[in-house]
Amino acid sequence: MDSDERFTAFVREHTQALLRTAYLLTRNAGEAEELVQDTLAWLYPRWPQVELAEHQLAYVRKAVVNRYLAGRRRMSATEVHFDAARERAADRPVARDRTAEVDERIALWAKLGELSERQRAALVLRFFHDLPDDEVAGVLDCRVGTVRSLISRALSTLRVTGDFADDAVSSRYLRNVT
Amino acid sequence: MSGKTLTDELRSVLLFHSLEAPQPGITVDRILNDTVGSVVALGSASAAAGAPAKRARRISAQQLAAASVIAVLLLAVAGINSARNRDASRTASQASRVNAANQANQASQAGPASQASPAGPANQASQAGSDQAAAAASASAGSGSGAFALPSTGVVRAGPTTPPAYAGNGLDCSTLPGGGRLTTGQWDDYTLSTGETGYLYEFLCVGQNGERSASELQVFRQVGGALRYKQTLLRAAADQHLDFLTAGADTVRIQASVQSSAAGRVRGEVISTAWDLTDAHPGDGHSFTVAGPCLRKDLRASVTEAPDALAPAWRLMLRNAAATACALEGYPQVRAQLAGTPLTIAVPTLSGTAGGVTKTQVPPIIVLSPDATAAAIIEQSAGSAAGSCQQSDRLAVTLPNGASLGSVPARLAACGLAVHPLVGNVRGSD
Repeated sequence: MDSDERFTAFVREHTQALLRTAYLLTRNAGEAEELVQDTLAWLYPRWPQVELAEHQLAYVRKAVVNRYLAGRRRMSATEVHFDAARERAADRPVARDRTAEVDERIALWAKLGELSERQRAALVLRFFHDLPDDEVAGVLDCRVGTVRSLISRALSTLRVTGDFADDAVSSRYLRNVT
Repeated sequence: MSGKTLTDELRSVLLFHSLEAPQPGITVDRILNDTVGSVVALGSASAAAGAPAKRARRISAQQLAAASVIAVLLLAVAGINSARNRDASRTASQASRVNAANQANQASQAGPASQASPAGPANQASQAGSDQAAAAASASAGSGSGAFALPSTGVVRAGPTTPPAYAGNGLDCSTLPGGGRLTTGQWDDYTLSTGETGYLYEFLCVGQNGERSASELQVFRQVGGALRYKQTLLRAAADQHLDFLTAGADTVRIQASVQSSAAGRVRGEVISTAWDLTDAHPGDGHSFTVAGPCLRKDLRASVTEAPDALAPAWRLMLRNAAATACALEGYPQVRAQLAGTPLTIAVPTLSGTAGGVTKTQVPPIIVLSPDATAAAIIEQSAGSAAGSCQQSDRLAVTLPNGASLGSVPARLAACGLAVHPLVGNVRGSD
């Protein structure tokens, strides 16, 4: 099996998983597709290097996350995104029914959209991919302390969306806030 | 949510929304196309990438016979006022086609067949009305029922190996309401009397949930092995959503949903437009109304459980109780209520475990014949614990165009709900 065939097999096997990660980061199907497509097209000429990695999917996932964060930094602050408009639209009924018991999961998802890109990336890696803090730090190219700070601040923001029971995991992170 | 921890809930929400990520088929093909060079030919594409194109092809093939008749009628209507006095036999012929198409549409649905024969009104209608009814029936047989099928005798010609790049300059997805990404939609080819082959391509922007902005329709001419841009027939500024297109010898016809109230059109109506390709310009198309938008008074709403679905699901059914066809497109807004208090709003998603729109990237444009029913699936996410949810007693329903239908009785677990687009059958899935 030559390099092209191995690359093709990887793409066919892992694109769905990468799209899910990308979608959670971008919250937009089109952007998720572009992110994964651009990342893999960029990695293609470097595929022999990717194959040297112990865990290829983790390597590519890291590239997706970094590309996402780099792309967001480049983005114009005035650029209006469709998803943002949608979030505002989705928020309207929630705001109108503030006194009612609206679905907290919708609120939680909406609140995730308000986090910074790095906070959201840290949460996705930590709670969707179940990576330990040190591996999240490896993906984000930062120190473990920074990861814990990102997650603690993000959880603190999310906590306002509902009345949650205490749990050891979030308590450990939230202690970092104070 | 009491009793649940924040991190548990966060994991559930991330898992649930990760399932809304786009399916990989098209992305895989694009990546491989960009890298190892596995060019995906439109005419013989892999299942995922080729699905929209194949659907367009099936639409084209099935509609060809009807389109040729209608195109002739359209041109005649446009050019000769006396078309309204056409002979009764043609009217009768069209009426029978309306009847047959409506019967086919009704037969494709699980509900009872219409008691009202459309042949009567069609016979009494003006010729323009008859044209409208014929096109509506044609649309109902296709878009309305989702029952497009390639005739067994249909001949599928080879298409170009790759779709052309967007050749205009007016379709900037980031500047249009709904935004999204630029994508290639339906296409068809045609042969001019000169023997020259041409191709029609739709370009459109598709948003996250399948919300589409205006379609642009461009004509390409095959020169050697390449497609060369010739002209734009339908500009994005026209703010129309293309339902389907057909191209015959020297004539192209589209059916489109109008998204603007400009130029004397009603927002939400479906029109049919024909161009003579020998001298086609955007403004030269001859149009008529196929169906107006469905109004509150036209529709009867109900909610039923979907016991056969793979997830807890319900179907919102909208029956056209009016005497004429009407048009729908998009996501209904549904809000679960208990004793008049809102509990939750279903999140619009193109498809889910229980069904929805899976064969295209956008919600269909539905021309709903009299007594026909459109449906949308409402489902609960797999991560939602139905037992801990409050039960609703009613569902407030708003049409995609914003018209409220009031509320209907519906007892469902009101959390983690998603709603899929309206589809022109009682299943709620394409």
